[in-house]
Amino acid sequence: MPRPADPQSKPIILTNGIIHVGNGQVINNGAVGFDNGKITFVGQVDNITIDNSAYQTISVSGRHIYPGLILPASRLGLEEVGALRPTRDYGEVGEMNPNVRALISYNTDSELIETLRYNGILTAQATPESGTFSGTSSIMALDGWNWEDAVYKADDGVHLRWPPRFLKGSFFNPERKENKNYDETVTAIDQFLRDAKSYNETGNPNVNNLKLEAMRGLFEGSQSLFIHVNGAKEILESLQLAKETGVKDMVVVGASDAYYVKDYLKDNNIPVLIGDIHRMPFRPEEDVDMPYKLPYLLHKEGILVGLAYQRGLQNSRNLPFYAGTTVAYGMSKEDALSTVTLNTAIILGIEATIGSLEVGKDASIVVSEGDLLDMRSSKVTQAYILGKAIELDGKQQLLYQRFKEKYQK
Amino acid sequence: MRVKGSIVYPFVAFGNESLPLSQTYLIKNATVWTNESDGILQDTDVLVRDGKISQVGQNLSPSSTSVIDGTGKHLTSGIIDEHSHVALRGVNESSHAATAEVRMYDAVDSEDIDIYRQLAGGVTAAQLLHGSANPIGGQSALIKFRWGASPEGMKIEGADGYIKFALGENVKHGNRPRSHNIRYPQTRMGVEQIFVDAFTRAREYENSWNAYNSFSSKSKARTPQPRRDIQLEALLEILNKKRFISCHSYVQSEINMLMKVADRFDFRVNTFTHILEGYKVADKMFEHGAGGSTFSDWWAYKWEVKEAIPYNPALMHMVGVVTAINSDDGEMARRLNQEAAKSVKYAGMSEEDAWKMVTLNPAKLLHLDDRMGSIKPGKDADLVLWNDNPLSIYAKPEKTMIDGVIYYDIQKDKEMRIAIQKERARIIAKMQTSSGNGGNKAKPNGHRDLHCEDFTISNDYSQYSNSNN
Repeated sequence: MPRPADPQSKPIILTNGIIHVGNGQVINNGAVGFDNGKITFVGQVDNITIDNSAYQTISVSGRHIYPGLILPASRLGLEEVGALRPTRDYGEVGEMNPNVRALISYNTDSELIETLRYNGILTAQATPESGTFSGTSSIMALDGWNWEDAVYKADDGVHLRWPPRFLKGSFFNPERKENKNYDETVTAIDQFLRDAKSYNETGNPNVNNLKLEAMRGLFEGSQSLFIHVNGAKEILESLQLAKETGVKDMVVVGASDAYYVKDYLKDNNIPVLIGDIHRMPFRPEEDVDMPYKLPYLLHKEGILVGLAYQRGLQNSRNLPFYAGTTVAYGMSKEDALSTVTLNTAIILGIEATIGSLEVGKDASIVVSEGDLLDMRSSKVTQAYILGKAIELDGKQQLLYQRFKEKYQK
Repeated sequence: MRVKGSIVYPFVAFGNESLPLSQTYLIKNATVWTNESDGILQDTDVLVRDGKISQVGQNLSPSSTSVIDGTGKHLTSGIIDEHSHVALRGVNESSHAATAEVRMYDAVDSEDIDIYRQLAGGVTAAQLLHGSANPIGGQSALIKFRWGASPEGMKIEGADGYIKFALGENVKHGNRPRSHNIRYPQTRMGVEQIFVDAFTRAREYENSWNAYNSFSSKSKARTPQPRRDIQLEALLEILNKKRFISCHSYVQSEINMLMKVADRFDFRVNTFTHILEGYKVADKMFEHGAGGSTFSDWWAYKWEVKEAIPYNPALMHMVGVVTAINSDDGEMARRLNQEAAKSVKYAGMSEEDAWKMVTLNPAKLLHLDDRMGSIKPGKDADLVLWNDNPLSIYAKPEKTMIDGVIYYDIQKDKEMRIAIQKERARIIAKMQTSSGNGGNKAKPNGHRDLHCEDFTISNDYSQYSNSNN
């Protein structure tokens, strides 16, 4: 297992690379300098405006420099082996659990983390997943000795699992069924949001309610409400209810039917984290590439789109390739990069310090030999988290070397 | 525009009003991935005639043929998925530990929309496997995705017989609730004994028939004929090298075990499928003569895949094992080109070798490489025209052809989308006017996306993520 990296001890400048800023801009023959974990220079090599005499120069000639990718709405650190209950820590029992915090379950020693870093993912939003109000997420840097060390932004948002109007059938009876509890669940959500709002307005109550206490940030604008919802009607109903009850910032997560309600999303400036683009269309008559082109269709409308991955945790290391897929279906390469960097940072409310290669931001940097979004060429050679040079190889690389040597003898 | 009430084949979205026909095509000036010693040829023409690849060369003359401009495009043989469960109405006969008598050919659903989606991903053929609920599963269906044909019409004519075996957590019900802790086997020890017992019984069955058949007609008249057993007959076919195993497997101990059982009964395990720890016993697999058909990078979803690594295909290939990349997932199948490319990324495999893992090598594992899997005169015209290098994530199939018939065309697909929207609007309008007027109502059909492990578990995505294969 890679050892957590030491803090950046001397300033570094990466030179002669192709810089993909994350905001759509590309700088050829570029240089990125960083010191004490912060970016100090981004620009062309022949136009370096800082005194870099004390910098360690690392030539990355012909390689690509990207901001570290961000994986939102993930079980990362909260699950190790999906099939084994003792290793699952993402779903608390009960319906209304906004007060349970992903942060304290987060396992910095998860073997999955190193496989994500290997592909350029350097930040993740560890997210609870169960019940109705599942809990509060935290944003983690993917390097650190323990959760206190690794936390990037604690308790950034509350996650609501909105019920579906229709339930998928069982295997033997695959017809969709009406969710008979829908109205009841929505009423409970409505009541809970109104209670939380009233509680927030009372200021300092004599008796604390931990669940309602955990909802305060939603009304004060310090936390976002991440609504996990897929159906078109459900997206509208959930957003209208949240707005009506005074929630300031909403994000739609999952969003497989978002295209059918694009006007509402656009008019209300609601950003979207698409849960899974490598899936089949949900309707037989839908365009066969509907999931692949969904990010572009929304982006084209002016909706802020980030990519998540909510099927098997093991596949979340393919986040760069989900972005790559969108390019084959309409996105420009740089806009696709934004869906896993800057857009996600904006959606998570951390864009002031991360998500793009810009002076003053934290040095979350990935260097790849080829195009990071295409598995044909992606090969990460260096990565920095808060300026710390992290070890990329992990157990999978060790096993590869071990057996390669065995067979080469 | 479709005429109201016209029949389409199959009778679902993206069906055709008439079945597309085999034509003579000349694909001009493409980058041709031959999978033969010629390697990747630039600016090359391929002539397709009577459903076969007729000529490969430069400046072929386009006399009275449809010319397809391949300039700037890549032409490959069709992708073959060694491990698929699309187009099936059921996947597991899980009642017993041995169900060699059941046949996936009896469960082929030729109207599954996923067939068309496979074509849109450049997949032309697949082995539809029984699931992994039991050590000895059912007999495979080897089909080509001839969209619009009947189940019978999708069969690959004259293909060898295959059968699914399975090892590990699924067959010993390791991830099922306690109520499942009663079916033998519950351990890898028990799994071995299921095989030994089954093959012992099959040999005895053969002996009893041989003995009976050696009797004089007089003795036969006095002796009851042995009872016919179609399960043992299927197992006997394996022993007599007339049916071939594709065995779902993960960890090295069980892979080793099945090869030892096969040695003892004097046959060869044809293919280990999934085989995520194949890299640990690749030398033994090579020596035995078994092939490996694996996932590119799946791991961590259950205990037995904890040491699965994305270098597995490259390591098996390095040792000389015939290695393929399979899907076990209807969605991933349509991106198998990208799954192959992951060996380029992780292990620096050559692009030609990586490409063979989803074309020629699965053809070899299915004993179809004499007619499929490469671009060579005389082979079936199962071809895909891509807009980019097929290993790139930016590549999309523009045309997919089986036996010289174009079953997917990106331009025609565009037109169909518009027609489907109109048809949908027509049906909705019809429903609106008929509701309350005594019109007929029909419930929508559900759709099943099948995986190895499916039979009673829900298809809901949140569960799926925990119960993959």
